[in-house]
Amino acid sequence: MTDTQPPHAPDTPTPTTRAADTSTPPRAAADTSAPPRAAGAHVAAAPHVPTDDAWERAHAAPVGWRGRARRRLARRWKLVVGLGIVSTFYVVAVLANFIAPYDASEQTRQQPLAPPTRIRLRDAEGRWHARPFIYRLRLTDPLARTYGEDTSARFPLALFTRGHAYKLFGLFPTDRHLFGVARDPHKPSDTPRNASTSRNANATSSTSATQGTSATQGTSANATPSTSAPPGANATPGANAQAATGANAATQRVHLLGTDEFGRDRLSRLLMASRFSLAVGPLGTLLAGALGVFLGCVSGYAGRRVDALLMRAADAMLALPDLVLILAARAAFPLVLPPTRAGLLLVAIFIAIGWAEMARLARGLVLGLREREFVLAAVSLGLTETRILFRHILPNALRPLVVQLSLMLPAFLLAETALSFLGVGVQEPAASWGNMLVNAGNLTLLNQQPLVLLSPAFAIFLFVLGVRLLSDGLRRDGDQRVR
Amino acid sequence: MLKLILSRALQGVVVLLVVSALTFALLAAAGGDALGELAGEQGASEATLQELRRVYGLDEPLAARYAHWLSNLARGRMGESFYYHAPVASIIWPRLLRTLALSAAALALALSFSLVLGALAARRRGGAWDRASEFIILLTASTPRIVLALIALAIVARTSWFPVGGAGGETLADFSLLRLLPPAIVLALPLVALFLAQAREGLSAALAQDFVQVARAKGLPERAVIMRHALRDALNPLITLFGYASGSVVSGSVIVETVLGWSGLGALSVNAVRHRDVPLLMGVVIVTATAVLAGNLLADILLRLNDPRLRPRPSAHARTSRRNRSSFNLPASGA
Repeated sequence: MTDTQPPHAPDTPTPTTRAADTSTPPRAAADTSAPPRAAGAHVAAAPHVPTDDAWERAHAAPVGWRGRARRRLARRWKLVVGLGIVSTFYVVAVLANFIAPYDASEQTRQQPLAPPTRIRLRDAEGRWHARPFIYRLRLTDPLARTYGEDTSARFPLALFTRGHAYKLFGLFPTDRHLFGVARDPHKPSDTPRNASTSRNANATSSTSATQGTSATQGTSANATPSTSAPPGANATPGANAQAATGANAATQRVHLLGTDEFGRDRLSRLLMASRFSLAVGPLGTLLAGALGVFLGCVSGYAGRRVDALLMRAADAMLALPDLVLILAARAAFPLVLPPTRAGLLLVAIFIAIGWAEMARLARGLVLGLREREFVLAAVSLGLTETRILFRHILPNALRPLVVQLSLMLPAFLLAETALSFLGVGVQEPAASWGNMLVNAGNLTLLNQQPLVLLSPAFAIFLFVLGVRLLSDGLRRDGDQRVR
Repeated sequence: MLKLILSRALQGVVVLLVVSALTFALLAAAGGDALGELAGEQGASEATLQELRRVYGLDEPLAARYAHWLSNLARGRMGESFYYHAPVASIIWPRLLRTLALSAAALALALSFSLVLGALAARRRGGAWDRASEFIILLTASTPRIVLALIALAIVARTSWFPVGGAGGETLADFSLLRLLPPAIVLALPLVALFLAQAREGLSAALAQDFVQVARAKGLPERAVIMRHALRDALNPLITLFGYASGSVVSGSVIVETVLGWSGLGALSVNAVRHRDVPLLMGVVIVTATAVLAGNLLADILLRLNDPRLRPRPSAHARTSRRNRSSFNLPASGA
């Protein structure tokens, strides 16, 4: 029963193509989404229905180890792909500090709403370079926020550059980042060696029409202590001119997804936001699931009065659409909350609302399982009810419960996103996928940079897709074992 | 049938009572109200606040306030909105109509699309239509409405196909189909995943049954076999899903209406939360819950109309509760 690697595995990327080449009818196709048990009943009841041989052949179990392996792989691809996507998201979220080139709340107010930085290998004179580099951005029109490139200086990119300090995994203080602008900008004489952002740049004299007096705010203070930032470098006429045009005096920052209206690096925000969004929704789901399972077991196992009480409460919960309930619950608390407390509040609300569905399912499963022989056996052995419940019934109910959890997860993730989008979830300056999408609601901006503005939406889509595939795969895997 | 409707209505009233009491208690217990915001924003004095509390009846005990609210509700009054300074009912009513129009359009779109595609897919499993619908299911199931809504907004903004600005004027006469279309499609797409999967499975299971064989043997054209015979068998789970979908549509409308500027109940509930307008929020919650319960009841009635087998038998709930009276039964032979 071990997973033999079929030699022709690459030939069968999806079950649908497999289903197609054998012209497979309903339940032989591994990817039907109804519970096969119901469909299987039809085969048993009416095996004579099909008239042609091909139909029957397709229904028979696949012959030989090749067929079986192929089928298993076809069943599993969703599980594998889904698991891959979801775990990638979590790895990225854990490493977000390291991957993000800049601090998520560090502002460069001279460059608001900059387009994604173009990474080049060929310079303006047509020479090729081995190292990718970027040009300095210049705000050509502060009102329309159009940018041009200043090709006088190249800023090569590098891996593992030094940037703002942070703690990796919350434990190890470091200032290395996956990528960034290299420290030694090639050529130009008027660019200082220090590549840290323009804390002390001539921002006050900047004519940047937008806003703000200080170039960067707050968190830039804990950026690497500049090795006595040479004031002379900044004082050179060239740097002054550049500061006046609105660019950073020191260096150009690389913004793969551009900047937002405060000049914050959108990629860094997206990465840091994933931490929040990937924590709140799933945590709420897990805890709500745990509470639901507990209450469901109690309901299915304790007497009728408790059962009736709990199930009526669950009915009331399920009568209302979740988002409306969540909004109502949210309205009871102060609108403006610090991000951590807002996150905890959302988790609490998700628990208070999400248990009902889980309790329903758990109760049903417990009711069904406790009439099975193995439970009777356990009873006749004289085991205590708690032991039977947790050691005998619950393990058997685990898989449908996990599937239900994975179905609840997108709902809560999206609820968090929706609330943050509506301004009552995680609020600025903290980043969440939801509140990053607020900009996309602005028609003018959306017209200018649709893809960049929708990047959090793509993140959401991809993650939800991963979870869907995972739960689909889990469900199918489970069916296979039951049979 | 009448019995069913009555008993369901009674159950519904109980659920509504529970929901309203819970919401009321929650909103009151947290101590926040629009007046608190007022004090923060405009620096109202303590005396003014006291006076305002008295005017709005906020100084009474919780139970008394709830009883007051209930008795008002029974007379068709839902109080006055803190923010809009207008009777809650008059605010909710036009928006309810808009949301209902939007939801109906979305449900109709989703259902018709899924049935047509489902029938095409079920006719030949593994065929091109089947694979296409498989793909559509996966795509629509994993595209959140917030994403869809923003993409729709981008499309509306970049093209001139649709008028910008959503529901437009205040009266029903201002509805235009073109305005309705983008939010309705966005609202419908996630439902397509639900309906299409079910329609495909249900129809292909139905097509494998004996009565379909009989219908074919009679020489009916395939279209008639599907439309008249198989469809009716496959419709039951779809109707049940329809009840579920009514809740999903209302949840979705919160986002869709806000993003696409359709001024309905969903957008209103967001505003109520933002302004912490408790009477308005209570009104929205009650009306929404009623609408969803009505949707479920409608689904139940349709189910019984479609399937005569369901009519005389006791409900599933009654059967399970009878079985559960003794705690360890021997497994029934058939179960």
